[in-house]
Amino acid sequence: MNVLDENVRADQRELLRDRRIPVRHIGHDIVSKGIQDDNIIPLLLRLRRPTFFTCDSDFYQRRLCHPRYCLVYLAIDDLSVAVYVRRVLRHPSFNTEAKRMGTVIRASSSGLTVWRLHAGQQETASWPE
Amino acid sequence: MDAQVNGQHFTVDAGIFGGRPVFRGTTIAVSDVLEMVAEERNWDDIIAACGGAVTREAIAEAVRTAARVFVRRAERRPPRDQTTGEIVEDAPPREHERVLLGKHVVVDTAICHGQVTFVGTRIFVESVLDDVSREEPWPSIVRNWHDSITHESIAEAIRLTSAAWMAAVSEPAHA
Repeated sequence: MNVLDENVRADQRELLRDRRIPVRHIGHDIVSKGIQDDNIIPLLLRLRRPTFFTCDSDFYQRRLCHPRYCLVYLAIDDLSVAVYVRRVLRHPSFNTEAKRMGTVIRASSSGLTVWRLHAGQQETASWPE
Repeated sequence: MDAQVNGQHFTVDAGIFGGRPVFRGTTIAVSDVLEMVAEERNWDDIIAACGGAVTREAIAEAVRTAARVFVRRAERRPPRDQTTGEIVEDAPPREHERVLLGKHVVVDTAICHGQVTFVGTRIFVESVLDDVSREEPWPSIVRNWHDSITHESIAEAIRLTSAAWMAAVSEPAHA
């Protein structure tokens, strides 16, 4: 399941749905608006293998790695969110839920940096040609 | 200091308006133009009101700069390592802090880790003002932010950013 943070624009959600990418959007069709940060992780743990996409850079933390969800911080402008959600979900290293679980990812135009559960160092990955 | 003194389209001159930012080559105060933006005036009208001396790009830069200055001054982000830029993992837990910056704008350490948001949402003020700087019509901005914000809250955010910028440049480091 893909979950968009409330700080993602509605038009980006609709672009993803137009592309047949299922997403649930905080404040729109899952939980109420203005949910606190500390309530997001418990929410994710209640969902089945969620991938959470946010524009909040402070979610990119190693200590948030967990085997039952994936966090993706999108370090891009608000109007490129749909494009980068698709790019992450199609990336060869992250194109299944199983590959994504346990990771915290920072996605930007220059590539990806990734924390994995129990890893001592970040990994980097580039976008496929 | 986080106040940007000079930009491509504006500058600060101690001899003009007491050192408030003005658009380059003019005596038009940036704060006056930001007030017109806050009134949701059409940008063609704003440019006409300035006698054509201010461009769209200049207005956009002013909106973005004001937002950036305001947010940097108000946010309460977690501490970061000076070298790596990573959030300090073994930092002591932070006290919950919630500061209403206006009727519609808040910084709350429990929401988006202390970034500046609209009250009752996880929507960044800076994101909405980016939309304003692109001249996105306000009804579209409201719709794209889930009808969680109003024209009134956008206007307040612009006025707060303008006031924060003026306050920043009037501080001793910029005198």
